[in-house]
Amino acid sequence: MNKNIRVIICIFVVIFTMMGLYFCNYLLFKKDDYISSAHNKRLSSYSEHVVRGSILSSDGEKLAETVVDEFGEEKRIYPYNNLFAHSVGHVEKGYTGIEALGNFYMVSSHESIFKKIADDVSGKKRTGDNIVTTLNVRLQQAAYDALGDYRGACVVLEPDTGRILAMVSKPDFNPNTIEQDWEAINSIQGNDCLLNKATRGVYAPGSTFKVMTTLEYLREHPDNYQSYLYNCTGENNIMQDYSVHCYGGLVHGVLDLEHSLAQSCNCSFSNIGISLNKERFSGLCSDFLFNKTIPGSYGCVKSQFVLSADDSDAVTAQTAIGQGKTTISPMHNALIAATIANGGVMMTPYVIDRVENYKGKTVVDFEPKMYDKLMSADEAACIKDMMKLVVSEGTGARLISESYQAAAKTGSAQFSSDVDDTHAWILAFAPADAPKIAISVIVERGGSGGETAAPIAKRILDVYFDETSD
Amino acid sequence: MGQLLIDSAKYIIMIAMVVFTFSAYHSVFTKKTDPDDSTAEKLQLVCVFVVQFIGNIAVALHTSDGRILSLYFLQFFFVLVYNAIFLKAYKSSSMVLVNIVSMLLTIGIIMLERINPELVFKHCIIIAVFVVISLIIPPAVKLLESSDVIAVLCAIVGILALTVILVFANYERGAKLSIPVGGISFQASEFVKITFVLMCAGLFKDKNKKGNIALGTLFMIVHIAILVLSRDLGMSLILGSAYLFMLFMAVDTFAILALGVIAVGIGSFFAYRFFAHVKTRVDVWLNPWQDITGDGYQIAQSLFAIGTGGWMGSGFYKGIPETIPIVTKDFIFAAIAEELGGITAFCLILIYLAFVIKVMLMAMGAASEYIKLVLVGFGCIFAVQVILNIGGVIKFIPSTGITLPFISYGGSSIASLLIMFGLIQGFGNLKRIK
Repeated sequence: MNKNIRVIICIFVVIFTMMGLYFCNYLLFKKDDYISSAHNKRLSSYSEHVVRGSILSSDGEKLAETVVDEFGEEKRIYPYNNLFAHSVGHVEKGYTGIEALGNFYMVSSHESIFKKIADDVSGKKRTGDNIVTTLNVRLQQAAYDALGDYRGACVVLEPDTGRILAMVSKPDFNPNTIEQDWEAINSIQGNDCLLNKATRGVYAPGSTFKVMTTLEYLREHPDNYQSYLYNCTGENNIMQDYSVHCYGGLVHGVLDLEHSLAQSCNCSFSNIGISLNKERFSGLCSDFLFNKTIPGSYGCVKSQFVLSADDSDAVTAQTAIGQGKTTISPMHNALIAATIANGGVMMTPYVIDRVENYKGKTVVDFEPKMYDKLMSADEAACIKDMMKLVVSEGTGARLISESYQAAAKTGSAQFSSDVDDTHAWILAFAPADAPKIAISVIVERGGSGGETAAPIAKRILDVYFDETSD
Repeated sequence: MGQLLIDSAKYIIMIAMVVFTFSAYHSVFTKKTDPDDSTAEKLQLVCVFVVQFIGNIAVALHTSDGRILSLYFLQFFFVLVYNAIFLKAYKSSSMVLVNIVSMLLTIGIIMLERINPELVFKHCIIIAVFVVISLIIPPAVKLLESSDVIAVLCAIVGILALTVILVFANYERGAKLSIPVGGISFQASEFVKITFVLMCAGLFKDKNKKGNIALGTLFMIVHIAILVLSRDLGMSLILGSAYLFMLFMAVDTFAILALGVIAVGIGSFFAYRFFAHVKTRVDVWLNPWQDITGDGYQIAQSLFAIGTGGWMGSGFYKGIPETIPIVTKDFIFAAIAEELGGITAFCLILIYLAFVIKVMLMAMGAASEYIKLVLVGFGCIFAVQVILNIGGVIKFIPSTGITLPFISYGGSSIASLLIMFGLIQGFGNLKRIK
């Protein structure tokens, strides 16, 4: 019998050990995933014992900091005022942006255990950890200035890592005075200055979506896509009472696939669209995160793509040129540009690079994370070549530069029945052969993507390449 | 100064718990060369007093409630007398077990004072009454010395008690658990744990009596069937595993353990399929986020509490354990981890294991097969209960709604555990009398 009791002891020792290890594992590695949740009411009690840490740009500039005056009153200061309004966010009137995303880190403190105990005992508040972001002040400023007084948004990503280098949404607000301005902001009907359009904006992708249509065509015709030819007459009569027209009433003449994309020919793409396998096309868009949660913690709105087997040719044609029911956020579109730039591999976008304690020692480090390989290198290269052609021969001519070669796709998205009133889009990345930066810009009611959005992207690229050549 | 003491209480308790844990394992695993050498046990008792003093003082300082102070003195003398009685009257009893029980009860009382002072007096009265009862049990166990009649009697009492609950109790949290008796909710299954072990031990003690083993199995099936009908699946699991391990000892075949694993697997599968409350608990175990404001709320709050407290804990009154539903009963472990720290909580896991090991070691040294079976049965019940409770609170396994032995608030649970403890000490001593 004693032999059996020994077995029973062993069984319980094993189970208790597993349970103990599970407990330790939770406290060592897993707990941050849980307690950083917005549902954790305990975080607010943290701030009673910790002076909130700062938010820093990738080059060490303070984007947000808490200053304590001689009476112990704390105030959150945003030295750049409106510049990082949406990306960094604010704490008054609810937490947004990085203030919300990184809340947990900034109210946590990695002081040494002795300093902690000393602070506890002396009743002093601990010093919170600082967040070092991936945001770059110069690029942010460039994007902010380039958008100027337009309404819209801009997202700048690093394709091979997913780092968010800049994120601007217009109109904006001043986070330093949001408390005072709150009433005024909310008294104006339709005031969207608090909305981060880069992540929460919902727009028709317009012609930028032709990148997806092209990719689907490549997949369905891997061997003979080069022999595609279409004669554009400026109008493509899809059904009895429905025709597609090219933007600005243009007539493109005979086009192959790459020139269809370069010229952004609606007639040709509607022609391609109705030939596609709808199920496969939906599958491709689903792989590219349409109707799905965008990875990364920035809280993007879901993009939408709807195409079912019994949709009419008119609906299919519209969908193929990025109109119809399809919607996308600027962040998602930037992610698609970055994926093409990165040889088909989508990286999860992220904005918190690392967390440091008050002495600058890294306590949490975020590594780039691959989301998935969505295209073969060949497919990515093929689309990239066509996007180069957009700049060199097509609608993206405003991006031509001596110091770098850009690849791009423009878009002029209709959002109402008025065909002339369009949102201007551009996706761009450069240098085309070894991309370092990918951009998406939307200008609300900006008209043509090539005319309005492209110069904005160019100013950002100019600043970037000027900076790196320094 | 007062605040300083409240804030540093967690550190002092943590140190006392670490020392206590090491000392407890030392006592469990070292063979005494000198039977009168009780240094380790004295150290443990000192740790209990330290925790008791610091915890009570912290609560009294914060609440400025004079009654807490009086309660502290009562606790102090109670532990002192309790210890002295075992030491003098039951010379050969295991003092490390007495100290562990004292420590667990102390932590339970302190946490209850902290979370819900209104309940603590009732809690203490129940403890006091049943400690006295448990003290007269050890000499009485000789009367229980095995006979088939007692075993069958235990089975009948157990089955009757469970049936009463099944018929008269109302559902609470998806299961029929208790009926009110004179203002106290009486959870019969807690006491059935004792009769069940005595029943199995009585019928399994002679492995050649196949008829008895079959009868025990039959009784076990009836018990579990009634519990399943009451939807009290946690208790089914506890009784089932006690049966399994005792049978494993009796018939000495590893196949029993394999069969048991299969039975638990099949049982869990059907429970998941056919009991909505089991399915929800498994679902929130797999993914607490899917319904964070609804079914996942409790486990999420528990994990927030443990995680936010960290290794060091937030300190008394710096956490918000009251946001965890049923925190004084099933989720008390999370409250301890939150305010007293992960190290203290981890020590608790180790202390529970020390208790289990000690009981099993006592079983190995016991004089008769019957006593071995009883001790192992109680040890298993205790161990499985700890695993189900702490495992559920830290999301190691789905939560089952089982109390944490000697710590959770809950009269029936504490009462049955104290009786069980009296029996353990009583049976443990019998071998030396022989």
